[in-house]
Amino acid sequence: MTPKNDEPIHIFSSWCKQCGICIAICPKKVLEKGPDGYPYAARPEDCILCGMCDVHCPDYAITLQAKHEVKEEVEHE
Amino acid sequence: MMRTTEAIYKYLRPDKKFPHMWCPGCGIGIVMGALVRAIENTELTKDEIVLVSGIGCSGRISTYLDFNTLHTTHGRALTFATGIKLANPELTVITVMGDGDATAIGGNHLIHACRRNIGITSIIINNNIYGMTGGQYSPTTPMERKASTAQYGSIEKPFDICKLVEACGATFVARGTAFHAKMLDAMMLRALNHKGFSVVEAMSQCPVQYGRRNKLGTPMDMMQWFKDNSVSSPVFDKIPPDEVDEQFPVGVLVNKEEKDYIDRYRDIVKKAGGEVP
Amino acid sequence: MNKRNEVLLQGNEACAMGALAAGMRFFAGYPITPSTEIAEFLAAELPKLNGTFIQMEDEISSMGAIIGASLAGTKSMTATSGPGFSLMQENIGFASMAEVPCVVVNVMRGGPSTGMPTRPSQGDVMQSRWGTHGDHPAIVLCPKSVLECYTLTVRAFNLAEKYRTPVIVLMDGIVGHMWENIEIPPTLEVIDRAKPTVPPEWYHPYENLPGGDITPLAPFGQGYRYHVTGMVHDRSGFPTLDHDEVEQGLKSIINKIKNNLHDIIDIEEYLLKDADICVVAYGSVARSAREAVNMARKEGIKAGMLRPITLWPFPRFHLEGITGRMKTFVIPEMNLGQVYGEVLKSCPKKAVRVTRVDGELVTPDQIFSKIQEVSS
Repeated sequence: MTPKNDEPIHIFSSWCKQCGICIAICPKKVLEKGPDGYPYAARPEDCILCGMCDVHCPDYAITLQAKHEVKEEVEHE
Repeated sequence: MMRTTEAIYKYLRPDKKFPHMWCPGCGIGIVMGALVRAIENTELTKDEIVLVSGIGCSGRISTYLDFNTLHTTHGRALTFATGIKLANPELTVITVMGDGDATAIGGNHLIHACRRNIGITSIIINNNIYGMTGGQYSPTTPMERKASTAQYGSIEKPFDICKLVEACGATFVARGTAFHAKMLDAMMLRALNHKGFSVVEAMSQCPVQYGRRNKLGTPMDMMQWFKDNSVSSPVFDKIPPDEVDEQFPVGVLVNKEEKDYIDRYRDIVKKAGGEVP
Repeated sequence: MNKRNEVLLQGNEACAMGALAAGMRFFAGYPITPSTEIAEFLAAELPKLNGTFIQMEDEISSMGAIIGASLAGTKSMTATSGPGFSLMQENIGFASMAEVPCVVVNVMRGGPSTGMPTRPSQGDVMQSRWGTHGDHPAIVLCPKSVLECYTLTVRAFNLAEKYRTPVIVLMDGIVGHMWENIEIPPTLEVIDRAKPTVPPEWYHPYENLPGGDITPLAPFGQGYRYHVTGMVHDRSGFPTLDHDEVEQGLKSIINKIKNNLHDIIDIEEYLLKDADICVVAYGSVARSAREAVNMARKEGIKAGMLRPITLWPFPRFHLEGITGRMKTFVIPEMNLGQVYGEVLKSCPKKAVRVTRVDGELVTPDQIFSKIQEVSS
């Protein structure tokens, strides 16, 4: 699922180590493990922008509603 | 509270190799994120900050952050930091050490830095193991836990780092965990603003060397353990000692105002007839 | 510190005064016989100059603290004796690898281990060269008088700043504790820390410039944010395992000393011009050696003395230059032949030693009788 600009969650698969913390810690169960092992927003509409995924990502590989120009964003198939 | 990733780009050294070198699910990245958010909420410029790290997984923090950084010999971060702080008290000096770095080989320096109440913020990332060298037990490995050098289970009583540094004279002591990431950076902010020696113990999961060897589940399971067993200190104090199972107090545990080493040394300079800038 | 031109001073005290004259404003140390007087003097004097004195919890932390202070832009020093010097080795290696200027004074006592705290020896000569692990350079100066305690400490700071390296002032307990009337040299050249000549964006703390100039060390907090580590590092200070960078990095640390021996090595020659027996002596033993040479000359024996003031790098070329015309080299020392071994390398089959390890100074008679023995 390709993230559109108004998507709340952006994931940098080049930095993500698939540790699964974001998936497990999301209080609204928005994220799921994709077929290639990387997390993706399965139910983006449920996202409440609480930031639990953002502050708990050890690799800074997940941002919320990137308001500014994101340094590096990788299309996630 | 600024999101991590917005702050992180401001403080990461762009030419360093990312993703960073810590294992998938390791808590050090979370603690570094908290440190960056805490610094972002001070008025400190990058030039004013000296980040001194020891040797071990946590020791690599100094390569990633765009401050004046110093990667010292194992256990000795506080001694280098003491020299820097005394030579230039205007600098904000932060040390980052692991549990072994700070309380095993560095233990002597830790207790004396506390006793001196010197203006350094000391972040101790406690993952209960020597991770970098392959999972040996450390002074904070709980009894009976396994390690590469404790195949039959550790037989040593672990330190309570916060009690240790409090007893030695640290005037600000706080404990947070990788699960309480946002609380952690609030504590670090208070530590950075504290006058005197401040210690923040950040409990962090080591899913590979410690977690896997002790079958503690996924990184999230280990963080869940932090959540389930942490209580505020007032609550903790009410638990009768013999009923304390695995709980531990988190939050600000010590916060005393006391003249710090720099001010006391300035008194000496005046007494000796030198002029204080 | 009052203006004392002509004064009776202890060696340790003169060393401390020399350090202040060189601009040292940070001392961290730990009590140990026979060097404690240096710390005691500086504990009183540094606050007057708004400098910093701190007694650390051990010698390891003392060494760490002076490296930190130097990185913050302050000339720094520690002083110890054998046991403390052993504890300092790892951090001395750090200062060498990270190219941080600082001065370490070692007032030698009887060793090994606790040895003889109140007796002198010269047993740490090899430790001052190879005490820490790995291949690394060393600059070690060796005073033989109270005046040299002063002047060589100033020189130690100059060499430390110029070559961005730790420098060791190695004296034995006699030199440290003896008192002599000396005239404080009014003006001595003092080299201060050079400032970087490039803006922060272009600054590489470990990039030795073409022509061998050494990149100045920018103090922390002045806008030059860089990284310092004990790991092998590239020109910008970050760890590297790239073979070429590793090789180049280590070589440059060693070559900055090796390529400047002419500037670093100091020796004293006494009656060597027409001599055919050369006594090689250093520190307090050189005082006995000088007397022995005089005694030999009275007997018509053409003896002379070569005294290494810079002990490391060892003055090999000076010895190789004179070995042709020398019958024998006599090496008196208060150890079992640590410099003797070095002289053997330059003058094989021609060196004899006069060693003494009972805690007393080698006497002129002992040296003179060896000179007589080899000259007959």
